[in-house]
Amino acid sequence: MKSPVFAYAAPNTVAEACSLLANDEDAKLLAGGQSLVPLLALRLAAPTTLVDLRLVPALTGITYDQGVLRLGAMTTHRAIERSPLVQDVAPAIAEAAALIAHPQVRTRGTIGGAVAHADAAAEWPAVLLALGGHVEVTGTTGSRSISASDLFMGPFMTSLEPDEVITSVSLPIDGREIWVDEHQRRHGDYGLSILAMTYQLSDGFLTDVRLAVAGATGSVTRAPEAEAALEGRAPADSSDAITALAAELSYTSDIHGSADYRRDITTTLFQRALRAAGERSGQA
Amino acid sequence: MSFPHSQSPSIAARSIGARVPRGDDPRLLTGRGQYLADIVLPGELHACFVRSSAAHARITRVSIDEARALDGVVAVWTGEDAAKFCEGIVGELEVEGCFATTMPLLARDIVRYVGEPVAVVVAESRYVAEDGCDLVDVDYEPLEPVLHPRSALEGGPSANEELPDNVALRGGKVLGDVEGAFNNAARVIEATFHSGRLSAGPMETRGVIASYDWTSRRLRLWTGSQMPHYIKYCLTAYLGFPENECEVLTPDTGGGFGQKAHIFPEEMLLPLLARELDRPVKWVEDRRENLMTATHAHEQFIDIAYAFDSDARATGVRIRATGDGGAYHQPPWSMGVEPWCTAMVTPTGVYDIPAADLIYEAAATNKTPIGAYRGVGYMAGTLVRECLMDDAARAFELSPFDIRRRSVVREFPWTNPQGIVYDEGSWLQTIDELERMVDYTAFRERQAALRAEGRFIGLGLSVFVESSGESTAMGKAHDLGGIYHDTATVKMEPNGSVTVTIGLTTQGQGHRTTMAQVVADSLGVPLEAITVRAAESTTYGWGSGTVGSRGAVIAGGAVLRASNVIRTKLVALAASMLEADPADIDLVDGAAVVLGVPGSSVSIIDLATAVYFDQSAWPADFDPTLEATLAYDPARPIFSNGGHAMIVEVAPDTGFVTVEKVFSVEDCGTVINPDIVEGQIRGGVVQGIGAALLERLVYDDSGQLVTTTLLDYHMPSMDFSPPFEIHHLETPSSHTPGGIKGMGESGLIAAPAAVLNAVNDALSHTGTVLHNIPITPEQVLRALRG
Amino acid sequence: MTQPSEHVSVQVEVNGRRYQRSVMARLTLSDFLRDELGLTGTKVGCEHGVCGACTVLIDNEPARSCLMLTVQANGKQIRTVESLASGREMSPLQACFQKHHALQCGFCTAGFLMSATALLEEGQPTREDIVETLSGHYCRCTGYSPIIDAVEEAAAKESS
Repeated sequence: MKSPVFAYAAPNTVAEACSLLANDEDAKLLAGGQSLVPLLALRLAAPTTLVDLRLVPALTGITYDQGVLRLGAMTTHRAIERSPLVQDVAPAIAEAAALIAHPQVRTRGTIGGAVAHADAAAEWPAVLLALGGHVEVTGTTGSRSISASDLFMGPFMTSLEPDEVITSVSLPIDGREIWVDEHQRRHGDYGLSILAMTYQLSDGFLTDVRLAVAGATGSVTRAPEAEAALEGRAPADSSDAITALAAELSYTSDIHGSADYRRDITTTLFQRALRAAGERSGQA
Repeated sequence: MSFPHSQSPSIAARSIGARVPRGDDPRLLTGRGQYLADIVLPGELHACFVRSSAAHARITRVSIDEARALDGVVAVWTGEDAAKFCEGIVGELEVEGCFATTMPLLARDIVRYVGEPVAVVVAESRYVAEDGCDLVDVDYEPLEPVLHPRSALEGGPSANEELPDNVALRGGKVLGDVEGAFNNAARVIEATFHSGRLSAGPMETRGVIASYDWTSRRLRLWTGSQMPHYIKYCLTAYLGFPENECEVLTPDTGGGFGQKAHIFPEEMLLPLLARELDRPVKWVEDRRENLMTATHAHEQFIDIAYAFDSDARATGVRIRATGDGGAYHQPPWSMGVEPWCTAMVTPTGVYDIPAADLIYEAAATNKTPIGAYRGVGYMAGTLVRECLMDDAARAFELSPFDIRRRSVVREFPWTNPQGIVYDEGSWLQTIDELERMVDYTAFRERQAALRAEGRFIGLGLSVFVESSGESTAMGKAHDLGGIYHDTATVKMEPNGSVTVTIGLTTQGQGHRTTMAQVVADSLGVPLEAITVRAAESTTYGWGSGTVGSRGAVIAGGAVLRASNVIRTKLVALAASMLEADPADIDLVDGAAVVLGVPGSSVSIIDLATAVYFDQSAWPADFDPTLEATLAYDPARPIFSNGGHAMIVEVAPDTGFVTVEKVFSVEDCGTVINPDIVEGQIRGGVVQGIGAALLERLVYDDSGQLVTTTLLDYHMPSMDFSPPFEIHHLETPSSHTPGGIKGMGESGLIAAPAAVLNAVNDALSHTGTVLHNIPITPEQVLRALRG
Repeated sequence: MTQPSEHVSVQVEVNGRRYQRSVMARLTLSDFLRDELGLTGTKVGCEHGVCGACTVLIDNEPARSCLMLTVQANGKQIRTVESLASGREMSPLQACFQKHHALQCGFCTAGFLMSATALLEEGQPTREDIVETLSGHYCRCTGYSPIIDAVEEAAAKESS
């Protein structure tokens, strides 16, 4: 299990990275490599050029400004999990980071890499969708911002252009409640179901609910019907939403669980989220 | 018939029984271990295999030109190239009704399972060898894959045309009045079980290095094998390498668990490549290959029924065990040993069941060959027997302890219907002890209280008797062919230090420590003065393999017999020097002492020095050879026994099962080193928890193996590790060295049944009873939801 | 502009020693440590980042060396199992592994030791912290509980 041959470049600027990508349609970006390197070892990926972002300055770092948590694309999961700033302004995000794989992977894996990889069983895409976050990207023709809902197109598919590099991930932290959890068979396993939910609580009623599911479905997805069914309801008044969530998503089957099973445990995860919401609203 | 090498001298246990830390550890802990991949030979080449991507297909074309042309590639061989030297390896089990197969070194014409080697690329580095493999182009014309063992045995296409009806093994026996037992039964408890397909999954994969010198015709082969002498024998028998110039070397080995107790095509090909290319060739298996091709294990479908009388005593058993064997017999254990052992050996277990109808069969299928994995045959057999005991307990409304006590054998020696004699055992005491450890009444109270809160815990019990110290006598008792014996050499040098070589390899079991303990007690020398070499090379000794829980017993016996020769000499010399009767001399604490005469002693060092340098101290007719090599093979079969009780909790929102606690009772006779015995128990039990809850090799409908990485084949991680409470019973064997018995397989043999029973107990309010392993969270959740 | 190349130059510090090498870009760090530097104490068990045997410390943090290209470690400080003993004395953690019979075949052990070393350097881990961190390592021999005991005792020793 050795990687095929590739040419390697570690540019010093984002612009240079973009042009390296533009010059070779089979080039691939290397961030932390925790997903890409095993794919190389299994020869499931065979890029002709690897463009390593490790020397590009200013791609790491965490800032919080005007309700937005901005995470440099090369910030590791471990750094996010352990960041005093994140733990302070959005402890649920630090906890979500700690759900990813094992510490030995979190020390190297990056949020930008995970988002760009868009694995259907990854945590960050669900978090991004539920928070209504966005990514800043730069390409050969300039920079743009892509909202999470426009970014994820399917399993391992994003709307990034081939020459575009994610430079940062922005998460609005605006007082809305955040809840992220998943069912893992063993510590660090890919989640059989991952659920991220954000909402406002006013007078014990849920508003502005955003619900994202990963792991259980073919790709990360919102659950608009369940969201709508919760709007204006108390967390305990959720049977319509639970029914909607079970019905509206297309659950996947594999050797680790059938679609029915994934539906069932997504439901129990959702119920866990609603119980937490109930507790937060003091109505539990 | 009795032979001298079946007799083991007596020994006084002093170091035996102590928790001696392993001498190997500092070396392994500091990164100084030398495992196969750590060995680098000058000029070595690297091999990589092109493996079949089809389950069953005709090879219409193999194109190797591009690979051969790649810079750094030295050679590419296909099936035709290998067949010039060897048609293949013949495999079968020496029992009635087994039909042999021949496994080619590289497939020719037809491939019969995904992962079967089709070509080998040899290059200057493993990276380039893999590049070369990518350039080998194989065209396949699909043939229908045979994937279901029971329907395969009923007819249809053949998985391997050597076995046109797919029958690789079929046989059985009816013993006692089975019909009577079932006709008169108060209840019949029966079920069909499926025990899943497993990988032994040693942390170090397989690997081979071959080096050949044409000037001396000398072949050296490094492999982490559990059976190096057998490998060496095959190198001569199949490939014609001169036996006297063949050496198989076993470096540090990262676990074997039975997977490395086979001969593999790769081990036959590498020496040929090394000879033909005139350079050393290395192959280190990668994890994907290991999961795909390094033998699979344990998969069986089993129908089993027990007749019970109105007192809930088992009176008869019927079993049909069907192995899903894969495409070939993997020698020497073959696809036969699993179902054969399950049907012919395990159905009676620790119970006095007078009548048995036993059917074993193995079907050839287009899957990876089945081989041995810790507890081969015993695990599935113990699973079905012990699970039905718990089913019976529920039917009779008895505790799992009581139902077992109704039928357990209480008097020894006991002969089971198969004619196997059990000399001794603590079968009843095991059940009693587990009941005490668990505190059964308190458990039921806690279970009821938690159920009221919506939490579900369960208790599962599993008791076992295990054949140990695999021997010729054991084979004969079971109507199984095969002859076993192993040698050890003990050599004392002039300063009293001792070097021991044994014919058994070690894969982490600590033989170097336990054998040193045996020698220390035999010769009265301190452990620091003893070095044990565990079959590092076939140059030393003879070994039948580290299999069948035989290491401690067999190596112990050989070591003790050899050491006793030295002991006798030291005693004679000491008697002469101390002017005492040899019968009054003991060797203890570094000295020969005259019993009952305080102060009359001579140090072992002085004795050894005198043997080498002081003829005047010798008694008449003294032979100064302080080196002895002797064989050992126990005169009679040896059986250890024990049991596990487990408490599990099932999660109502996911169906996940957590093992809360394991209680283990082990009776392996005299315990040489409790740390090592307990280590074997814990390791085996956690493998059993893996087998029961996580591990499963899965094929899809086209015969593709789905679980080819550790992301899909889930082994237990630390969060699956329960706390243990371990209790030792010691019922010594009457005829092994010091009364020791083997126990390396016991944890895995009996743990899956305890897990399954505990889950079924947790689900007992639902009416669902599961009879498959691994238990999936989905099955548990379905049961909880009704 | 940076030209992509199949070979790269790397400079790393391993166990306090500096090395400069030109290597294939595709060479993993685990293969570099083992094959180029001869530091074979680091074992390779799966090459796809699951088993944990190849774990080393990169700037004091545990990482899978099979999931890193050598060039990604450029300029970094690496520690492997060979660095743990001081002089001729095993580290307290290593000694605790021996005492608790926390290794059998020894193949996975270096990985466990490196992750546990980082954990102990960070502070006083609880039993839960130990399980959480070391669940990223497979051991097929011991059943794990002796490893937990060994790390727990080493942690207690460090704090005393």
